[in-house]
Amino acid sequence: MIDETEGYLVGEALVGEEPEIAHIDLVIGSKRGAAGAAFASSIAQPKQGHTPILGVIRPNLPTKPMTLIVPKVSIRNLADAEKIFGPAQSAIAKAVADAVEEGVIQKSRAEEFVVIVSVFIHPRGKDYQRIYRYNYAATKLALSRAVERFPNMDKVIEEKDKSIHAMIGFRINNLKKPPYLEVALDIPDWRRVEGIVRALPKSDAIIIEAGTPLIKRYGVEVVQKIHQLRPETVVFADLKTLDTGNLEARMAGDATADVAGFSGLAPVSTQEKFIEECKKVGALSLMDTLNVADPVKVLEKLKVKPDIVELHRPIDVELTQSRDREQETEWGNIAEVRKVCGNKVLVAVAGGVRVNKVEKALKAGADIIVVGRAITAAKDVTGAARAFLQRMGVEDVDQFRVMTDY
Amino acid sequence: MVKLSEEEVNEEESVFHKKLKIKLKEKGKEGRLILLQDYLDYLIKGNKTLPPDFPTFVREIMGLDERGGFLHIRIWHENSELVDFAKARGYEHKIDTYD
Repeated sequence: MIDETEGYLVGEALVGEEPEIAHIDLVIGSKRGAAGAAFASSIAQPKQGHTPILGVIRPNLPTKPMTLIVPKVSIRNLADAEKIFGPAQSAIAKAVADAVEEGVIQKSRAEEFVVIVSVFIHPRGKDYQRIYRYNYAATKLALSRAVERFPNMDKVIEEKDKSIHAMIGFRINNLKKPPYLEVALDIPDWRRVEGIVRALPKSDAIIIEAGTPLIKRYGVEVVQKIHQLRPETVVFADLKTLDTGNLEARMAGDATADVAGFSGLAPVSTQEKFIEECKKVGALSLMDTLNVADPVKVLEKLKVKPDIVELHRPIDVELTQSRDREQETEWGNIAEVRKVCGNKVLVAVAGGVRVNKVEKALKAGADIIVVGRAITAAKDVTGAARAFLQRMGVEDVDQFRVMTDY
Repeated sequence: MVKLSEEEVNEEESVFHKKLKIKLKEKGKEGRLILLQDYLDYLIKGNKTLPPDFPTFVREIMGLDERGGFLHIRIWHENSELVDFAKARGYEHKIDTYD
C-alpha cells in the first residue's frame, strides 16, 4: 500500500451540502516515519481551539489504524466541541475501520499505520445526521483516494483550467481555448459600463477589457467591480504601462485582473519586470503594440515573453484613416509574432474590427478579436456581441460543471 | 479629418440608456442624505465593492432636481445595482427611457 520511499499518503474529499458540508484532508503513513512523528507531537502539543482527539468508535474503543482528528475551525464553545466529539469523531472512526474491513487499508498492516484527519465543520452546521453521514463519506473517499494516489498528474493538468472550486463558485479561465472576443470598454462612465457588462451574453469566450480611459477615470479597482458583476469572466486591465513594470502589474493583480497589459514601447527591462510580476500574481501579461514600428524586433529582445500580444491599431488612426489606407495598417505579421514567442502566445487584433472582418482576422491567425464601439455603442449590446460570437463560430458554453467525481 | 463609415456613424449616435425614478423618503437635502446613507449601507452590508463612480454619484444625487419627490438617475440597464438597491430597500421607483 505505502512503499518505504513515499513515507505517507495524502487524501482529500469534499462531500455534502452547506452548512454541514464535510471537508476532509488526511494523511496515512507509518508510525515509524513522518506521519508517526506528527501524530505523536500533535497529541503532545495541543493548540487552543484545535485540540486533536483520537478517533473512537465508542468511548473506550479507538479505531484502528490509530486515528487523530484535528479540527480545522477553532472550537469556540461547547456546541462546536459537541459536533467534533460526537457525530464527526464517530463517523471518522467508523470510516477508518470500514476501510480496513473493505480492504482499502490492509488489515495485516493496520498496526503499522497512523491516520491524521483534518476535519472542517462549519459553526452553522446543526444537523447531526448530516454531519455524521458527510464526514463518514468524506473520510472513506479521502482514504481510498490517498491509497490510489488520486489524482494522477495528467488529471490535474487536464482539470486545472476547467474546474470550478466548490467554495469560490467560479472558475479561473486561462484562455486555453481560443478564439475569444475581447470587448473593450473605453468609456469613462461607470454606469454605462455597468449596463454594457450586464448586457453582454454569458459566454466563456468573452474577455472584458477595462480600457485605459476607464482605468484613468476610476483607478484599476474598476476591474474588481467588473469581476463582482461577472465573476467568471476574464477581465483585462489595459494599463499600457511604460514604466515601473512590476509595480503596475502588482496593482492590476491586486485588483483581481486576469490579464494585465503593458506597452511594447516601454524599456525592455520594464516589459520584462511586468511579465515576471504577472507570473507572480497569477495574471496573464499582454503586450500592446500600439505605435510599435516592429513588434517582432521588440519581442526578440525580451528574455521572457508575454502571454498575449495585441496587434493594435489606435482609435485616433482608426477614426481618421480612409478606407483605402486600411489594408496597409492592418495587424501585421501574426505568424512571425507567434514564431518569436515559441508558439506559446495568443495573438489579439484590435482596432476597427467589425463583424464582416472577423473571418479575415481569424484566417490571419488571430486568437482574440478585440471589439470596442461596434458592441459598446450598439443599440442592442447583447445582439451585437452575439453576432460576433456567432461569426467566430463560438457557441455558449455551460459555465456550471456538475461535480460527479465522488 | 475624421472619416467614419455609415455603420460607425450609426453606432456613435445610438444610445440605450434609461432612467431610474426613485422617490426620496424625505424631501430636500435630508432625503438625499438618507438615500446616500442607505445606499452605502446596502453596499457595505451586502459585501459589495463600492461602485467606482461613487464620489460622482454623491455629487449627482446632491445636485439633481427633485421632480414631485422623485430623483431621475441615469442608468444603462434595468438590472443596475441602483435598481437592485431600490428594490431591496423598499424605495418607490420606476424605470423609464431617458428623454
